[in-house]
Amino acid sequence: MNRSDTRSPRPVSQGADCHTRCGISGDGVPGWLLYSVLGTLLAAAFLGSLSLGTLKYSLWDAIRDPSSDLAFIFWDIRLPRAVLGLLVGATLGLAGAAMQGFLRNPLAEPGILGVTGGAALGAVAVFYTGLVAVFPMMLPVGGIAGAFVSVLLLYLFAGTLASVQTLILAGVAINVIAFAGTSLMLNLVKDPYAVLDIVFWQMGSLADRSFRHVVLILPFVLAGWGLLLWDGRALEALSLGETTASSLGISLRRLRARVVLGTALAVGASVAVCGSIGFVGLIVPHLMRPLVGYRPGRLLGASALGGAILLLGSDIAVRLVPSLVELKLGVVTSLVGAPFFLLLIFQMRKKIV
Amino acid sequence: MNLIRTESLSVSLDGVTILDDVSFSLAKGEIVGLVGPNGAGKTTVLKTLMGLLKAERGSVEVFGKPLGSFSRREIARKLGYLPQETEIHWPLVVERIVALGRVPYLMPWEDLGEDDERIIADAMRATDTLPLRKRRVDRLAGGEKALVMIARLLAGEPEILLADEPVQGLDPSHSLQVMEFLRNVAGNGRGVLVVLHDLALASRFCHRILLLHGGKLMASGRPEEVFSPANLKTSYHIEAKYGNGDGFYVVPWRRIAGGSDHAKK
Repeated sequence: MNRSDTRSPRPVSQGADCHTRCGISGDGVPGWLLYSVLGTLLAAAFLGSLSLGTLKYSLWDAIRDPSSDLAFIFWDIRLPRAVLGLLVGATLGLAGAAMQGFLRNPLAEPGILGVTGGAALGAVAVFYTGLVAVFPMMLPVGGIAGAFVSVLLLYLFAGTLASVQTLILAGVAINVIAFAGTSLMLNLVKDPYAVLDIVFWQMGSLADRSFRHVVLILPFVLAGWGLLLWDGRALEALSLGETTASSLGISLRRLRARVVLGTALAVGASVAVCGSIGFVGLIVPHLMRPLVGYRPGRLLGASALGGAILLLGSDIAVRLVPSLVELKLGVVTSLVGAPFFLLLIFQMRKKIV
Repeated sequence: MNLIRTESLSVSLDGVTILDDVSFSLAKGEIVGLVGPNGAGKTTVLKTLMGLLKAERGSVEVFGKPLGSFSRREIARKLGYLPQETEIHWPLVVERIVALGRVPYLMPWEDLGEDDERIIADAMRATDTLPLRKRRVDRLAGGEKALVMIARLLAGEPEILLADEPVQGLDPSHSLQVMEFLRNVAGNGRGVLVVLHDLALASRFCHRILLLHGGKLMASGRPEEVFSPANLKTSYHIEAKYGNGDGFYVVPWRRIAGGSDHAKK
């Protein structure tokens, strides 16, 4: 009788226990409280990203004397890294929340569903063909094109209200295709150093990026954010299903177009510059959902802030963890995120049985 | 004044004719029951009136103007639609579900205003759901959930209400509550078109009945005219008992042997 009951396990179970345990009211915490806490955490993470690292220095010293070495580290290394962390983290959190709202599925995430993989393939193609040396702008464009094709494929194959299984399988297939394409190009590259470059880039990192990269992706990322944040109310209406949402005046066709385009623009551009950083889009919306009263619209902004906090925090951790070689950010988020993903599947399975 | 008027309405889905030459009207103050066997095209009528399905032939007029002359948003403000299946994908609190009724009035960047909040509270008060407003919708009983969905419908302040089986799965007390409520809403100068399987409720509460059979309008008129033994036999292949104690009512009584046409569907 109820389609969502039989075809996709209802996300109703998600976080339900936490909600009672933490004493959060059904409608979440008040907006002013949520945003001031998240805002403070974000400011702290941003400042931490600027000041913490292998080299300890005081921010004030770096800013006071613009000609010093410290100033160089601050302006040319730490600041672009922190800004990218903010942009990419917010993008991943926001895109995860938007995809989950649109597909009404708490396991949707750009990485798991192959959007990140597609973007990586697009960006590698631009590397491989040497286009990037001629037009640096082609790098985000390649990533966006790859992401766009992946999201389209996903919706084409899985539809908008696919069961969890169908959706994840479609994601697996897209990931495999993207991985095969990327491997093919790596296979065909003659210069072993170029191969290494690409492999390391693909692991996902914010290190060694400059303001050139920030400028390169900023317009795409902001446009993508705009398209996704615009959809808050439509996603809320979609909580009641496609028929009710349409009867409330929502155009599902336009909504789908905005979600596809917004995800492709923001995620594609981010991946093109920072490689694949997985699971942020899965973890953050999951943590935020009880705090916003499960509202898919409010979840967007909260997940953007949460994503930025998580990514900046992880990036600080990567720098501080003592290791011979600096760990890649994407490796760390996957190491933490994959077990989290398994845990979610386990929880859902318990609910279905 | 007619709120809705259809003329020779025909609708096809994937080449199959679902509605064939259906003409009817809904006037202000009226509650009209749309009945018929499964697959007769009742839901298709509602979806076509909402503009969710396109008419192949014939016309639909709302407030005296062609349906096509209204934007999707305008239709959403004038006509409220309660689908048969209650899909709720996230465990929102009741208040938030009801607030979704205001979606047609808000731009994407706008928040609920004071007026919206008042209308939402009124809708919950009218449906006795105000005490539930902070409850999570996944923790409600079936009857409570049905009332919440009606509150959501009312929060949109539609002049025309289209309800698809609003009493499905409800106990007699809640069924009566919902039907009384819909009749009162119609009495307040709106129009209600309600799909019902329960012929007893339809005969008790509706001013007029539209009987659909195989996509055609088999009969329309007052309940005592439409629920004639002949009509019930042809459409549902049933016999009914009739009562007239406190107004006309009909109770389906037994199937008529050989009524295989209906069973095949």
